[in-house]
Amino acid sequence: MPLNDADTPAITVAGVSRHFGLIQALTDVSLECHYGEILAVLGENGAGKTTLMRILAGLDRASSGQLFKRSEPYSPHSPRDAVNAGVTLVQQHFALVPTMTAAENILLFRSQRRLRTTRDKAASDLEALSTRLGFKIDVDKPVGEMSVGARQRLELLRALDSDPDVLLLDEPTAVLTDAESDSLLEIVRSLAHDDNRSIVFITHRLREVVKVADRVVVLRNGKVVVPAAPVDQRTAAELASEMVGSEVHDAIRTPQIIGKPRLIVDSLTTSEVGPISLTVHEGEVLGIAGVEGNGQTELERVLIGARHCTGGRVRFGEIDLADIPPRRRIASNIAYIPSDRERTALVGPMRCDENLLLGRTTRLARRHEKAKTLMEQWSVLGLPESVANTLSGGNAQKLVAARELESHPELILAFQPTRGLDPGATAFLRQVLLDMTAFGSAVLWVSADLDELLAVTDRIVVMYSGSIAGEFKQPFDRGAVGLAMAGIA
Amino acid sequence: MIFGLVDIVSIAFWATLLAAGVRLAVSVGMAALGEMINERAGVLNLGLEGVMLIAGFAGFAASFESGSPWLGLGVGFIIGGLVGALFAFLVVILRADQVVTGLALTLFGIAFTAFLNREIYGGGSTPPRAPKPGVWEIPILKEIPIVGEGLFSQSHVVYLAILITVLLIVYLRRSYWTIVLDAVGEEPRAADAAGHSVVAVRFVATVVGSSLAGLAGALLIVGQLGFFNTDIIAGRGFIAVAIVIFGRWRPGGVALGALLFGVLDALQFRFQTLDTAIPFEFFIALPFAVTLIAVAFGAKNAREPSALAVPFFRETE
Amino acid sequence: MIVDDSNVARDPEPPVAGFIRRLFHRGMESGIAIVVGSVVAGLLVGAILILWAGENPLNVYRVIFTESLLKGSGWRGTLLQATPLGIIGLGLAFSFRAGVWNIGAEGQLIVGTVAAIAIVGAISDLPGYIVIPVGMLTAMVGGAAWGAISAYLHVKFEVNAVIATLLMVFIAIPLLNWAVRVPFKDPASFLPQSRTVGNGALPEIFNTNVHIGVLAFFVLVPVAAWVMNYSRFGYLVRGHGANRYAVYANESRPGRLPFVLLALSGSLAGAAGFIQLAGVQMRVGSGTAAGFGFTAIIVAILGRNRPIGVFFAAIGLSAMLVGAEAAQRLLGLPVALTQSIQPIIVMFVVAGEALRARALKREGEREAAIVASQLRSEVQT
Repeated sequence: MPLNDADTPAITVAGVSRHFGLIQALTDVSLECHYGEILAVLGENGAGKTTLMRILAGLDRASSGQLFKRSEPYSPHSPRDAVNAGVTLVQQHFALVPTMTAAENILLFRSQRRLRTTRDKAASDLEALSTRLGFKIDVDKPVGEMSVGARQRLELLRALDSDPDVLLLDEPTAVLTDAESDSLLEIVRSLAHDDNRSIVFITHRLREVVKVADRVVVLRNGKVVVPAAPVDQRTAAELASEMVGSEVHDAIRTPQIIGKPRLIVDSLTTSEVGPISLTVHEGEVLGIAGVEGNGQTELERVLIGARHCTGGRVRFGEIDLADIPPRRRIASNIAYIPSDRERTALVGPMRCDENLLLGRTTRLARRHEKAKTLMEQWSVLGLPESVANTLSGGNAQKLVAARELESHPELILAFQPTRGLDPGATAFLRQVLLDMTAFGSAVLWVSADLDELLAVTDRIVVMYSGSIAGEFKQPFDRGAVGLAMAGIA
Repeated sequence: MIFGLVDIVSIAFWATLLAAGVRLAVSVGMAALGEMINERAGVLNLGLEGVMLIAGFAGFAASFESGSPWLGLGVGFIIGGLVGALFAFLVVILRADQVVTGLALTLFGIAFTAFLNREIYGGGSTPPRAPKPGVWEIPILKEIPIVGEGLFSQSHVVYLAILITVLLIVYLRRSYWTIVLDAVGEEPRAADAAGHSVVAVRFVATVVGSSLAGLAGALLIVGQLGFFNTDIIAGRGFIAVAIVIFGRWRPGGVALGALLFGVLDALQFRFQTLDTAIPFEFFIALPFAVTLIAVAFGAKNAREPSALAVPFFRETE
Repeated sequence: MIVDDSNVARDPEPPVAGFIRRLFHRGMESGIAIVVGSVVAGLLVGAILILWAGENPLNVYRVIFTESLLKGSGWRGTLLQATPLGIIGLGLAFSFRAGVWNIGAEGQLIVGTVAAIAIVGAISDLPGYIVIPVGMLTAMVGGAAWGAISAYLHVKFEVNAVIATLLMVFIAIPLLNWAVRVPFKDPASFLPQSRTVGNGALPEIFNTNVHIGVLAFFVLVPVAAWVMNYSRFGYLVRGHGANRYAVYANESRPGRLPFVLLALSGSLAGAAGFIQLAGVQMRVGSGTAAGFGFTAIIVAILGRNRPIGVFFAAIGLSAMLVGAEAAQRLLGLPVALTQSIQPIIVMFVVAGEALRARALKREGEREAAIVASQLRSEVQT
């Protein structure tokens, strides 16, 4: 392993803090990354990893502390400054324009006048680069029509276009299957070890840290809890407890006695997905695993009656779910936790007590007292008259859960219920959803986080490119589920 | 014999119709091209009508006072840009609501130009007239049947408008700026991450779009009519907004939409003078109705820029 | 800031001062301060224009004020104009509050009025207690139908609401001109105008020279305020404006509310048209609409889409217009000048709102963070 410890570090973070108002996102963080090295920054959601990356990439600025690039002071005011200094970021959310082709997207990022070329030149550069890294990319296809894996590779190519010596990767494998992320990690490894670049790699996946990183730093609540140490000196179990801390105990599902079928999806098809068949029983948690973009959103829209299906049926008792307006769905005691939280779960600019009325029959006049008890019960840290979009992500999701689950629903449709939440809220949400099964609720739990589903469900079905690619019962075989998610079943 | 006569009549009819259609398309088309540019950057300017009136009036005053219609067109272009800068300040920098601000700008333009016209030129029913640019008949080419008259026997302003349209089509296809423009309108966060200033691009796009709208007002008032009257744009600014949708935010489509509207408008004038059983008011309403229907059938497949009328906030704000 | 506030609240305070402080706080919170500030700023810009036109701004504003609000004839004129403006404005307030841009009230008013005269013209000899309700109902149905056409294009074909409603105005205007020229023309007149409404004329309120339509407006305002703030419908309207997708996911299907709102605001525009026809104009002519539908947009926005606000905005704008006509009569100052001040005020309002929204969001987040930390410590103890 070519570790150049004697050299000056490529990038150094010295005592950086960042706060947003009263929220302290980073406290006195220090680390360094050398040439030819992959440094993993491990931490849960909300640990401050992304804030750190944004500061390094010039998208945000530190409140205090200093950065050094090859021991020169480095303070990027914009992404352009960072690129000029040889630092580029591959973001968690694709910073690509879906309507434009791969070549045009590359060109967009050649923002300095001297780098601007024709579209043809950008296309051939792109092809040359991708060939060198050992994969193919369609340079003339609009990015919106590419698979997520291809988009992630393009994102990497985009970052490499300016030939940086420091590459920042923010959860680059979050939306990839195990197989896809393995091949991406292979490329990342060669970029560091063969091209002698310095790579800072953010993730919350232990598997990847162990697989690819040379050293690892663990962040928790914006602080470095474990300073950089060689990966081979730590076990995965140690890292896991350091990452999560001692305060959180995750819900682990013990299989339940399963009752009558509650939700029956029978060979459902739409113009884009299908056929999908599945059944959720009384008191059962059925997980739907799959990489995002494999038809989960389409299934969600059908189940809540927002999209017509071209064939098949969605039966809940006597009702065809695909055909009823939202208020009837709620009257039938079906809870819905949407995946697009900001858009469909809450009316951001309205008060919490008004948000608790959404779809319910509670009288307007009674909203305040009702909200007060409910919010206390569900430990939502906020007041009934607070405006909903001032709540933190975790509190907002608890508010949604309070509204949806208060009536002990017969069926719970939970889509990505814990995505992006801090560890505390994640544990809370998982626990309340599992508690609901004790009242006989049937839970349909869609998640892109396979580890979560393995821990909380009774059965798992895998969605791959719009249809069901496999069904698994406890005890789960992680490898088999992973293969099904990659379409290799 | 009889068929021959009918043929000649109909060819002449279509030739004059096309010629009039091109004439009537010029102003609305220029305004639509301008609006297309700012919409592609994500800024919806419903103040187009107001910009056309204010810039058109300023152009008319310049033309009337100096005797030079070309100066009038230039003034229209510049005033359009200045009004656009004011609009951009409100909606891009302060991030005020684009719909309300645009409508207010239109209402302001109507009333303010009426006021100025009254104060300066009396606002009577026989307004003063300013000189118009000449006609340029291109020999031989204008003899081409049907299209000859429409394309090669027109006022100078028509050639100017066609030239600008062609230049825009070519420029937008080739330039680097188009990529930035579309990125800002589609995925401003990506443009920001790429080091382009979303606010600056939107500001410039709005000023450019508004300059073209100002030129459009001047093309009509200075170049084609030669006089000013209260509310003389009469909804063409809003037609231009509709044409942008019809043209699916592409310069070629927008030009085609403007031509379609121009021909309908010409047809309307033609029918008004004919003594048909159908009331002439029907034909006045026709271009608006057809535009609305065309937009209705085009709107579902046309995808507007994702960030249209959505103000941009950086995550750290 | 917030912590300081709680200390202040404990200080003994004379009741009057407390009332004023609360009033001021409430004013800042609801944004009334922005509207007042914008009006002042707009009048200042107007003063520059008046100076340029060669008049003394103070004198002009004095004339506008006294002629519209202090004199008896001015008062009546102000109320008579405020009524149609306010009734349309109430409908638009609901529509705008839900984020549905109905810019076509002018056309909806025209079609409502034409529909009303078509029926009323034929039955104008029947007693008023039949003609008036029938006329009113027809006008409302007509306006709602015209709004529903726009709504259909908007909801079914996804045409931008601004375009769908506005272009219908340019279709309604020729329709009006044809209606008074051909089918409903008064044969006894040389001008293109309809017959009179006959017994359909609205009665006066006790010899005040003010028709009962004004009363209808005054009654409608509190009703609308109640609906907006305390009814389920108002709740949905506000929710739709703030985040329509949440309403579609939890309450009603997409498009239903925009459809209802365009028809509702159209019917109120039609009602305003009938009140103006049967209360003031008595006949329909080509100048019938007179821009009420467009001025009402300003009324709704200055009223910040709240019924009580619409009430004051309607009175204020109407007074400005009545006063401006007096200023034109007495001082020779064009009405168009006053009409250009109104949109300037609107621009100040939207700019102020944008700045305030940013400040409120920041303060809201601060406040929420403090509340959360307080609650967290309560939970722990």
